[in-house]
Amino acid sequence: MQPDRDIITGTLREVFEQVAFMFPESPPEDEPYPAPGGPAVVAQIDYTGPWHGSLILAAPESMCPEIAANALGVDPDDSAAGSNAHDALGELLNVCCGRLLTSLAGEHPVFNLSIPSVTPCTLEQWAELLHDADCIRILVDERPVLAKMTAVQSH
Amino acid sequence: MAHNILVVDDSATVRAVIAKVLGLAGIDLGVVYQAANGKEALTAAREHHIDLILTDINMPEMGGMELVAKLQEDPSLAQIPVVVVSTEGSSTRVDTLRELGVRAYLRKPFTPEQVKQTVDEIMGANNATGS
Repeated sequence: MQPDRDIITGTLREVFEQVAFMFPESPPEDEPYPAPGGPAVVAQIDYTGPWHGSLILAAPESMCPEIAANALGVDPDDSAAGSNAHDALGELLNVCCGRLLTSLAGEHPVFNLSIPSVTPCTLEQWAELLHDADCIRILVDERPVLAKMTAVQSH
Repeated sequence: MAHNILVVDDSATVRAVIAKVLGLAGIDLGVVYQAANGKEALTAAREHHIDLILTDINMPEMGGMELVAKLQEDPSLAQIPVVVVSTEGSSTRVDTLRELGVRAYLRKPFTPEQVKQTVDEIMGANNATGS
């Protein structure tokens, strides 16, 4: 099964706003989708339960310290923002996944989430995700963020 | 009396945010200890006087469910009130946590007001019963 794209997009918007005080937008259809403009990272969290699968988020590396700074209420140049940069993106993904599973499956099923991983995203990985039919493209402060959720019914 | 609170989460960002919220909440706060998983939390709880534990569920090495069970097994720790702070929204999970003795559940992302209200309610109730 493929999770509802509108639910995924709506959840991403809510979580970016509430956790990172950033405001995602849909990319204009008449303009080319921007490239990361530098190194990128990919965050992944897996889940098991009545369904199993994963949620992936790819973003420019430069966005991570901003997410951490906004979550912590410090300046982006603060050392705490740098040292928590990847951790903050992983936590944002963790919150997205928890929200999405409740939105998609309801409040009764129990899911177990993995520990989020955040790793460098190669150009090939970015291109593969970008052209995946199930990939959702958003813009966060005019920068590209890609998301993909998979869900398979468990036996 | 100032309250010592133990914050347990594998995300250093979340620990820092909770510690900051506690500091700004107007709670009569003593020391905010931090642990990255259940194992570290058990060690901290045995080494220090802890009045309240705020813990995540999903952590490496020892998660929040196992931490709660271990606390209940230890007579010297079983009376420490535990609040779970997690992304998971399953009402089935919340019911299980309450059966294990968890006092409250806060879903991420939480607001500072939710943290303050929860801590106030639990510490106020504990002060009233003298525990």
